[in-house]
Amino acid sequence: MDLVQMQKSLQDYTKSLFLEGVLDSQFLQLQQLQDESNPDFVSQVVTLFFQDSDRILNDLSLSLDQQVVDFKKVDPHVHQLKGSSSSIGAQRVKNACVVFRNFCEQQNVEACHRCLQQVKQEYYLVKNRLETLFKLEQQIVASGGMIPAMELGF
Amino acid sequence: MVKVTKFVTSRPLVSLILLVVVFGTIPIVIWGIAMTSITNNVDSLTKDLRSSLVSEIENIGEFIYPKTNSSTISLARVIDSYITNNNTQFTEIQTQIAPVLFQAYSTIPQVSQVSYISTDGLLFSYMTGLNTSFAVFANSSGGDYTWYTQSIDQRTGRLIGDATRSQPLDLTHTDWFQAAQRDHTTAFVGTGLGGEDNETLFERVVSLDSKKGVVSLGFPVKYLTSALNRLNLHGGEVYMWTKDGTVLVREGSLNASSFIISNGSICFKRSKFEAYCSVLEVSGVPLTYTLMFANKGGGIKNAAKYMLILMVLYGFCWPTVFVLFMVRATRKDMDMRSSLINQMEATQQAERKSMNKSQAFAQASHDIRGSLAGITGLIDLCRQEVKPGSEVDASLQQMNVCTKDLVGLLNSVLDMSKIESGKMQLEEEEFNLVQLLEDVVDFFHPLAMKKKVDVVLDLHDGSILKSSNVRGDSGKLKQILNNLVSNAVKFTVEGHISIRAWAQKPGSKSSVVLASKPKGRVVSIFSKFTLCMNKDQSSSSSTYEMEISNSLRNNPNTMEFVFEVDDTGKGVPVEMRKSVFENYVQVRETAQGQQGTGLGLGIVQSLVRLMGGEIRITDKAMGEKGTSFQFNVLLTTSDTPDMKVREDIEAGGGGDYVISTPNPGLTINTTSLGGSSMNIRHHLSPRFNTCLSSSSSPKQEASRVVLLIKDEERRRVTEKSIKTLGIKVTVVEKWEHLSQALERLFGFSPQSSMGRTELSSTSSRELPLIGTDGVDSRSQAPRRRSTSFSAFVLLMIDAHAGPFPEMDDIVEQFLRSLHHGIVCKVVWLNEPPGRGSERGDVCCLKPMHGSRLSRVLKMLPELGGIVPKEELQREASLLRRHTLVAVAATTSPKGTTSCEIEEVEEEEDEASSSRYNKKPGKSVRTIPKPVGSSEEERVTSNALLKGKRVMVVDDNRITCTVATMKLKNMGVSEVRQCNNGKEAVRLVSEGLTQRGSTQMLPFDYIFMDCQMPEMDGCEATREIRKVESKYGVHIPIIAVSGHALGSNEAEATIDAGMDAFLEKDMNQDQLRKIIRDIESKRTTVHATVE
Repeated sequence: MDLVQMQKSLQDYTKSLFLEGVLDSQFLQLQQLQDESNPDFVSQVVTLFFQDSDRILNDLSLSLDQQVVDFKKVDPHVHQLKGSSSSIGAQRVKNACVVFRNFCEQQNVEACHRCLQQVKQEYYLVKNRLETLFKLEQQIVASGGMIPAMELGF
Repeated sequence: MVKVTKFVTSRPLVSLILLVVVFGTIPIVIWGIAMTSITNNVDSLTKDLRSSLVSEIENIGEFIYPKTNSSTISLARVIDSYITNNNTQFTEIQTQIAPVLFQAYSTIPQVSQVSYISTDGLLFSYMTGLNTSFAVFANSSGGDYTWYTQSIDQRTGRLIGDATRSQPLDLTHTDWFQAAQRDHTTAFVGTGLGGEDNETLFERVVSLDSKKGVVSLGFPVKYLTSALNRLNLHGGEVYMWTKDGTVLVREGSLNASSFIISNGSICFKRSKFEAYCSVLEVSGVPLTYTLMFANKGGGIKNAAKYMLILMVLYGFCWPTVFVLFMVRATRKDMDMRSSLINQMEATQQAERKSMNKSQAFAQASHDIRGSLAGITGLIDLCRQEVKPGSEVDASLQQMNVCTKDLVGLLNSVLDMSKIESGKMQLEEEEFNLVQLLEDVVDFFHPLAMKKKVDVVLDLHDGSILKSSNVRGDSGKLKQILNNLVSNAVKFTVEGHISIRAWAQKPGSKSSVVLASKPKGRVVSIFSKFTLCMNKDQSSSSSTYEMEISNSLRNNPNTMEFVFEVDDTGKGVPVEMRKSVFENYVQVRETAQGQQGTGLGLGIVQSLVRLMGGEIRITDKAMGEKGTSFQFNVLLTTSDTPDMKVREDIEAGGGGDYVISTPNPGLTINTTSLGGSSMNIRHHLSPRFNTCLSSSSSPKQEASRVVLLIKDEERRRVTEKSIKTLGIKVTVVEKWEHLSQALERLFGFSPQSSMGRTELSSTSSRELPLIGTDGVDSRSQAPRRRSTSFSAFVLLMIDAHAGPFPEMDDIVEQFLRSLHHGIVCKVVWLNEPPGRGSERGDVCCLKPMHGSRLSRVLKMLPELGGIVPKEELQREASLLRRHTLVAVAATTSPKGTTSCEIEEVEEEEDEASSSRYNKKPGKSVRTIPKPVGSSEEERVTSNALLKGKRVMVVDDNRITCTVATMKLKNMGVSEVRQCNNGKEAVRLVSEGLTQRGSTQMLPFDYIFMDCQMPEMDGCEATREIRKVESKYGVHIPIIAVSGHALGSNEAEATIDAGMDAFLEKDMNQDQLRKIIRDIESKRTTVHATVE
């Protein structure tokens, strides 16, 4: 594939992520923080996010499947997930978490299950998209190109 | 008292008994004591009375016939001495004894009968008859025993007249005769000896020593009786009787019918009497008397009994009544209380409900807004792909408009719910009020111009210019104005919309009312009342508003700004004026075809109140169309206006320093002259003379502005504002008159272009020309910098006033005809650049007002404009052009704005029409000096954080990593990550113990997440603060939280001892600001410490 074309498609792809609301400006900030001294910063953080989130979602599923759901355990998990998703700018995951927490407060088990599904769905979406994004970036880097910077003023 | 009431109501019976016992016994005891004393008194009194009666009766008995006995005895002795022989003859008696008897009869007092009775029956007696005295005698004893009664001579006692016979009595055989013979003396009560009127007498009988007869003296009983009668018996009775039962006296008020005396004993057939019996001897006759009194003691007792009963009743009744009363009152009270409690509960519930509803509402609106934003984005995306100009594109565009409308609607709903939940707060900042007004007008101007409606900004007396830099919530003020103006634009089909603004000293509570015309007083009071009513209805938010307004009012720097948005639209019916400010209310008749929720004015009212003002609809003069909204807000002026300005403002709205000056060849209409003009005229008169003298020469004539504006209101306002600056203005109403006006003013005529005919005053009158000249007392003379400048003519022409080519023609001709020395500048209003710009005319699409106007006017030499040299040559060759570039720059951080005009000269060859087409609105580049330019700022902030050591406390490692990265990016040298509060506390205390004597802090800053397992941010901060206090240091701790700034959680962090609050995404600008704040605080602290 042509390098320029690849760069263009990367840009478009990123744009679409923002338009869909999968990512928000926080992700852009992360990208801006990445520099020569820390060239893999974004992917590091995102990998961390994936690791953590996988674990948290796992824990959440377990806790919610209990006979008696201990919301005191559930809530910190959701909080954690909310914090990390907002840190990397996974807006939709964050929003789902906000709703989730509300139901946690209300101790609504059924709604929590629904929310968990929602969160999972959003998470896998963002995971999928980000992985694709990184793949694209890697391709560009592999073919010796620069990753085009996104403008902040989106 | 309450306790007593409660007790009474809870146990009415007990309290009743208590009351009866306590309050009932007291009067009874008193009654008892009083009774005994009264009885005693009465007893003693009666005793006294009776004894005194008894003694009186005895006195009477003793003294009524004193010494009867002795006088009888003496008489008997005397008579005895006369009787010498044994057988006494009647003649002897008559001659010897009778005179003695008569002597006794006449000398012994009260005696009514004196008689001598011999043992053989001879009798001689004097006695008192009815009216006369007479004698009764028996002259013979034996067989023919006869008594004669014969009257006597009153003086001598001789018998006179005829003797009559009377029934004799056998005296010698009577008891008393024999008793007297036996005992020598006796006394009895009996009838007299003779006469028809045998009255009862006390008779005293004494026998002679010789036993030859007896002497008797009779005293009438009636004296005794009458004496006794004279006694005051005090309601009692007295009876007196002799031994043999003859009742002598029966006196008294009592009807003693059943009173029987028999055999010396007395018998009463009556009860309740007290009787006192005693013996009284009257002239030797023993008499028994009885004093009787009705037993009145029983009566007293009866009365007392009744009284007691009455008292007992009273003692019973009033507590009963009292208790009943109390019980009833308390029952009522209880009922009321319970209903109050119910009401309160209901109110609370309703409030809660409404609060919840508002919150849900806000939440929902928020979500909807999110979705709407999505829709807008999607529409934009679609439009990119769609072929422009296609059907789909048009639909999408419409969709876009719809969503924007929806967002606007939603925003207003959100505002409403914010205000309702009392969350609306003013964000104070400094801003330029005039600028804001201009922005608003500029914004609506094109929209209104589409409907051929002009939006005019009228700064009234210019007072607002003097204190235009104010502190306040510019956004909300703008929202208010936008709302009102957009309403006005919406509902105005023809005419104009004028926005007036002026400043005044914060006066009375409702200065809007005061500022109104007097005829609106009644209505305004009414509206005030209704506003009050509304205030009552609206809940806590309005009290909050009140507080704000009060605090604002007390600030000495506070100025009151009054705004008026006046349109010529359909108007609001009078009966609807109250309700238009209520939410969801629209005037139906006028709102047809117009959309909206009807929330706008409600929000506006709330906002105005929030800013300490009031809004209302003012009355327009009769025949004027449209609505006029007037509202006032209180804002603090950031630069204290000097006293002079204050005085000016206080002097009132009549600040038009407009004076008419006679000018040759001009009809003068004096407009809007207040009463103050006389003074000014007087004051200025010397200068006028110079003006007038100089006006003869055109070269020295002052600058003049010729206005040709179609819209009346705009014309008026523009004229006024120019005049305020001291520039002469000539107003032309219709474009057809333009050339004539120019001709008259400058001697220009289109026919003879160089002709300079002086106009006669008669012809000028025929011209429909309004010409007025304004001279400002202050600004004109001092600013006349050079004497060499020539007259400057500014033509301001509304392109809508007439067909453009014709007007352009006139202007062109005028310009050509101008002789040297007169500089002319043309400003086209409402005209897109293009036509007529070749000459270097200024074209202006945007409304000519405020700063724009002043910028244009600054071209005038009076106002410091430099007359470009080349302008003088312009008419000969249009070689050089210039554009005016006004650079408004905020030069000082305080926000004072100064405008300067830069003259940019450009060479002709550079000139292409497009370059010159720059309208002033665009060519004026406003370059505000920012608080710090972003680049510069970044450097300084990085310097701020450069080399600092920072701890980031967050349980979320991703967040932690990101934050670390951000901080490193900002120049932080060392970031210590830490997972929870406990660890953070441990690290801090370790750092503090290890650092020893060095002044270095273990960390320069700590970024603390709030919600963490084990120990949360707040608690950790408290711990750290505790540890710190031992070392006397203070590490700045910045809270990082997902909650919004200003939420309760954010406040809690500050309460916990954190220095600042940062939202989770760690906005770098915010972070910089916080760091700067902390640093500045720290330095001030250091300074004070040192």
